[in-house]
Amino acid sequence: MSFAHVIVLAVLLAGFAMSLTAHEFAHAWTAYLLGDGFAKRQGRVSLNPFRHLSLLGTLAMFVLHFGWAKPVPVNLYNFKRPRLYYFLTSLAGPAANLLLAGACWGAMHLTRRCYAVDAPWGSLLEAVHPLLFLMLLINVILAALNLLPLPPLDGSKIWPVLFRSVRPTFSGKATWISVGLLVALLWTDSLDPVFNRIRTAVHAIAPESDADVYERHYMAGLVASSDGDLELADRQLTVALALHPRSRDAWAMRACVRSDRQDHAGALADIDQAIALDPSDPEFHDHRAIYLEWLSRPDDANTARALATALRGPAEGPDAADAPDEQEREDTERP
Amino acid sequence: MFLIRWARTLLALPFVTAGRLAGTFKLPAAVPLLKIGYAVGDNYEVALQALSLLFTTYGPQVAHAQGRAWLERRRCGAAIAGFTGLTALTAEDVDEARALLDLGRGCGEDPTGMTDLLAMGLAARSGDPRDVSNIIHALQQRNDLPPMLSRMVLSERMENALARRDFAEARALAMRMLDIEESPSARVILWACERKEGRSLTADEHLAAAVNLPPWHYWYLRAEGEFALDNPQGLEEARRKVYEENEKMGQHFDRFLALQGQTA
Repeated sequence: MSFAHVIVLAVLLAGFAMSLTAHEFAHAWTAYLLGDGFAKRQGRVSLNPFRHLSLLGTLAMFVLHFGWAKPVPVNLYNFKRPRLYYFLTSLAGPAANLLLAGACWGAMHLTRRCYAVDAPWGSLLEAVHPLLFLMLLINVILAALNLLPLPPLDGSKIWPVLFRSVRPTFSGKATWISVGLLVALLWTDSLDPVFNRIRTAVHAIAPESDADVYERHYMAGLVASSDGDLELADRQLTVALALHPRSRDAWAMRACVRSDRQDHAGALADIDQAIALDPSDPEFHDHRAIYLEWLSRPDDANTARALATALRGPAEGPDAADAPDEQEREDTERP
Repeated sequence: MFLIRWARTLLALPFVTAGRLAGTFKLPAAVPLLKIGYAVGDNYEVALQALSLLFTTYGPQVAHAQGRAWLERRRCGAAIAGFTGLTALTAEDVDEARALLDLGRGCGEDPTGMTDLLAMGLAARSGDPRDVSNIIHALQQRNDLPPMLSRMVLSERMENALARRDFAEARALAMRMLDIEESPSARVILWACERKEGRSLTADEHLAAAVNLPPWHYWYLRAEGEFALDNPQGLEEARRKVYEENEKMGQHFDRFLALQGQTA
């Protein structure tokens, strides 16, 4: 497991704990506002996660990739209008998740222009944006799952408001059976199609960051280049570079594409940009040497090649270095 | 400190989960599992579940002995003291129940409301209606009671309204209870209200829905209803039935009648 995986897992767990805490706090606080102080007496009108998290539910996150918190006790006898207030209290949890999702969506808007900000803040925004997407997704899934009409999920408490014949209380056995059913559904990944649909929908509405758009155009450029559509590849890489002009890879890639299109002057200009961004990469100097040769500037080409050799260090000779590098570049980046 | 608590909770988790599951399906392994869970995790909620299962499976004495043992050996817990007091009260040991109420109140906060429940039980057991009336009045003002206690307060208010022959309030309170959950007591109250209105068919339907009540309770409420309806014949029959089912509650009903200025 890489360091990045550990960070993502930690953020996922923390995000899940935060979302569950907000969910349960919303239930307890709404109940309190509507006249039921029993949850407050139990210390549940609190944003302290340890007041809400259940150990079993936390451990389930590792096994089922889903978890739960301790349910907030509600005393319907304290409500003036039991059905309506129970409904509102039940709805408060998913509503809190949707509010959090909305906050994440707003924060994603604020962090999407990661290439317009100088380092290190730009890099920070680039790293935070996908984490905000994860938080957004977690909260939307939590809200949606909780609206399923199975006890003890909040959706089961909507029935009594819709149907007068259903009373807002469930037997312990019904709840256990329902919990068993839910665990089985999660264990067998039967809910995955639903989660995938939610993920697709959330992806569609979530604001894309410059990094996402850059990545998409850069990859499209690579694909078009390997398919031989050099004009399209040039266009895609130009869009990518407009978004992220500090991408040495995109400059180098467009240089290759332009070189293939016999635009050696353009290729030289692009590789010069790449070298300006990262003068220590010997491959860029090798490429520069090739473009200079094509432009009939052998002296400059020799200088560039000498620079590449110097950058590779004394262990590697020019012959040994050049041939495989050329071949490798042919294999990976050019049609 | 916090890490130690979570480590203990983690160790107790398999026992508590298995115990709760076994308890839901009334399996004998539930109590020992929950006792181990409490010993390891030190969570009062687990102790209450174990005591509750002991109470329903083996009776109040066994539950009381276990509660007392925990209170003496482990740290003071208001909820455990309250529940143990309730078991003492069920076993007719009023002095012990009172002592446990004092102990529980001295232990600090009681998030479960067990001490309030015990105080209510003690007032009801005192035989003095003023005690009950006072505590009902005090509890009625609060909004942090557990559902069980709120239900008891509402039941008491329903019966008081019937005893005062305030049928409108008795009906409103019974309807409120039925809006939340099915309640045979509320059904008997509604039976009396419907009888008062002369709707005997609806009254009988309510009575049919009250069959799940313990017989003494059913006849006690019927007797209260007959009293409110001024039906001496029905009252005498219901009173006799209460005596047949539970002599002590029969005596309790006679005290109720005496307070209302009627003799049996």
